[in-house]
Amino acid sequence: MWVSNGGVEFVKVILAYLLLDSNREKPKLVFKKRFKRVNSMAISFDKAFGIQEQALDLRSKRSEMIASNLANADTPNYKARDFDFKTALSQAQGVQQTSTAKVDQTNVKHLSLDAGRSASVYETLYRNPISPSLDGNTVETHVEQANFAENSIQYQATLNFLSHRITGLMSAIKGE
Amino acid sequence: MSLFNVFNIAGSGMQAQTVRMNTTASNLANVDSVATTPDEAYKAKHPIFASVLNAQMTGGVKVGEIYKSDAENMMRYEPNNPMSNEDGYVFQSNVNSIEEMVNMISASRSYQNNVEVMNTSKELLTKTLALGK
Repeated sequence: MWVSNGGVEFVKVILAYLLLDSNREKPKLVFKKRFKRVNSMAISFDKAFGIQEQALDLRSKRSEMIASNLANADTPNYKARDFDFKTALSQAQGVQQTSTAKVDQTNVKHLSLDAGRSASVYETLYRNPISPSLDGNTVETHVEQANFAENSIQYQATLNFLSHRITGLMSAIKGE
Repeated sequence: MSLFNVFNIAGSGMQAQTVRMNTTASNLANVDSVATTPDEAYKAKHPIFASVLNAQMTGGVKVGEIYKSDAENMMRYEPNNPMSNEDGYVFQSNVNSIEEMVNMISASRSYQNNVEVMNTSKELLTKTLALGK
């Protein structure tokens, strides 16, 4: 009986609640309170992607660097460059965690300091050539090709991780 | 997005290799050109590449200059040739066709490398754009 009338009962309760609210002096306050509670939900979009965001950024930076090496494969005195991904990623994480500067967020729409911070702190290293050429160029095309392929695969792996996170969030939101 | 820069970098590499291919074609076409004096004779042209680096130590490549080969122009005895000098000699071009063939293959491979880099980056960017769909 109650179950079949559940919808109607619910509407009645809501109407009664709204009427009560409109009788108060500041009905808007109630809405604000509810809004705040929703905002502090367990799902945080900032933290949802975790380390993958920085990883993706660094992977694309590394692909740029290796592309630069390949483009300069015939340039005299060009030294092949790269960076250590592991060190760069841990540095990028460190930057994000140790950002102590605080800015008051007086409005919900204010962005936090960490928003949009890119992981661009890394040390450029020079590759040790196996057989350096006479013109001072240290690019070895096959080595660069292998590194580029590896980096692309890792980029796609990161994309997959991100895509799974998004799928998880979507199913949490839809509740299906 | 760094991946968009890859297009510029690989593009500059392709541009540079195209210039190299052009000089090779010019040299090979003129391998049998003759002249009356060594100064007028055809000199092989070769590009010198230079890197263009930005603050992040990445960047493309450009053709710094195109130099003319200092190799000697060989003389050939052809008294019936209207181009011959008073002794009956003509001056050949100083193009080394073997060197040019090697240059051509090298330029072609480097060009293909850059195309491959561009294709891969395009694929990665497309996949990134499709993220969350």
